[in-house]
Amino acid sequence: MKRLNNNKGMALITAYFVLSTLITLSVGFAYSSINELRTANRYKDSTKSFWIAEAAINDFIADTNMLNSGQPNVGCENNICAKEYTLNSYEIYLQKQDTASVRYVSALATVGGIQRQIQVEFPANPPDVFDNTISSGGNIALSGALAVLEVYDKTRITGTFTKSGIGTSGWFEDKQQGVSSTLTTLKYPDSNNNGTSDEFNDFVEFNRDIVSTYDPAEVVYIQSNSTQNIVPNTQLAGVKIIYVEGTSAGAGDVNVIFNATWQANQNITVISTGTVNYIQPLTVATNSRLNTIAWDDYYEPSILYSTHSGVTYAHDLATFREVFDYSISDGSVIGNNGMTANEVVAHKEFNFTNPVDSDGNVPPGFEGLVGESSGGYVSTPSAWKEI
Amino acid sequence: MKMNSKHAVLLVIALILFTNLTNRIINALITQDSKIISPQLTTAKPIPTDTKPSKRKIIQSEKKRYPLVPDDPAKYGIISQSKDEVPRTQVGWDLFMEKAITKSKVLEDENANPALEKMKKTSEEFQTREQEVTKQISLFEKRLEANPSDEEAQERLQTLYMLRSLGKTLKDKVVAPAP
Repeated sequence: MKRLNNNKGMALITAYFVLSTLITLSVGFAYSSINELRTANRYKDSTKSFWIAEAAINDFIADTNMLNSGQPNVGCENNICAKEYTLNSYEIYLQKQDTASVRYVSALATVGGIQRQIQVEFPANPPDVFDNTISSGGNIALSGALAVLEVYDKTRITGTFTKSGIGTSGWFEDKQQGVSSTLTTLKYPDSNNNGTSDEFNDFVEFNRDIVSTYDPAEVVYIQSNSTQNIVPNTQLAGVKIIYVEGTSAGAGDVNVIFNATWQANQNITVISTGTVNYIQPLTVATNSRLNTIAWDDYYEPSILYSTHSGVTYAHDLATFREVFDYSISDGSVIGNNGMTANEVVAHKEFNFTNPVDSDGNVPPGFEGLVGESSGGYVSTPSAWKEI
Repeated sequence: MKMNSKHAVLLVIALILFTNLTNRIINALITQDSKIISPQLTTAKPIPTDTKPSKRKIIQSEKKRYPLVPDDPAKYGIISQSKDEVPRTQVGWDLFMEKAITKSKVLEDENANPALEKMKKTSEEFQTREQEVTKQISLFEKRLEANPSDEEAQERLQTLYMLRSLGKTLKDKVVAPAP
């Protein structure tokens, strides 16, 4: 065997060793860079899909009809309508679901296989009756002696206006008769799921559900067939709903005597399964409102000057009788079966005050209570979240 | 240690190959990336015609619900009257208003002042209102006498009794003193 007596081979070995070290380092560096690049790309795709989803939501806000049944490429199933389309070559899946109280819209965007979904909620649009000063699902009848009825803004009557008595006069700024009852009434949804809406049990279930969403400190829930007389009391400060529930239709009457809303900015609703009598109304505290919901009738008598601010809703008749002085109602009056006014040497004035606040919220107790004609979306979503 | 030219050439070739290979990989990734950054502005992908809401579902926000526990009306100053307890006479309503309004001292509350101020009347004006109510009361009392089962007359009489009682209760606060 030939014996090498020089160290020339070492150079090659050293070179290979150095080379392999360099290659290992370089491959490691390249691998790390590639990984970082992939992570950055994933992050970029994720961010992109988020903003694409956001853009799709804005597409919807710009055209709230785009997901309506019958629109191109829109499919509907179980009250959910959806559409799949591309925006700058990115896939978007946009869907909406309308419930009685909330409209949901969701956008799912896919970029580079990464999906992100944004969902917004809109409060249900207030029903048309909230645009009117008086909405009467039946007739409006004025009677009395030397009585004056004055209604500013819109009066919508499904029936007709009639007057009788000595020296009675009715003046309406904007009156329309023979209007469809869908524009003059509020119906209760089928809350007990028996297939028929607007029944007494629907009324009870609906109100129980609404009331249970409020903090117990904001609610007075009375189960009784007796008449409840509500008089001013400091314990009612902060209360939003007083719900008197009788066991049958017409039971659980409420007398609101003189005034029950003496707190500024208090927006309170009295709900009764019977009738509501608001005797000598006076809501004078700043921005305070007293709304009433009666399954049966609503009555409002007054002996002295009276003012009332709020929404008055009677599932049956809204009656302003035994009015003996100047009386002003600001807000909206809804009488599903009609309205009557009976005055004696008196002047009854109705003015419109929007019951819906700037965020689209209706008064307590009216949430989800929509007319058959109610639809569409308010301009600003009430909630936003990524799901 | 000396490196001959053959080894040096091999080393240079290996380095060139390695650098080239690494560059190709990185360039490939960057090119792919830049394609994403500059998307085509066309919606070339056909929209499916059988769109169905089968993708990720909408999540309905469930409002928090509290158990419904009936309240005691008395806690809120609400006066409960069973059918038998509802006053049927003027005296009965006078007693009721006395209890509900005067004894509860609600008219002493400072928030009551603006309301009472708005209702201010001269003694004559107040008397006129009372007389009109009294006239209506006698009208419905007669109607009820003639037909005791006249429900409308009964209801309206109750309302008128309530109004007259409330008027009596408020009288001292709303009638402006004579100048």
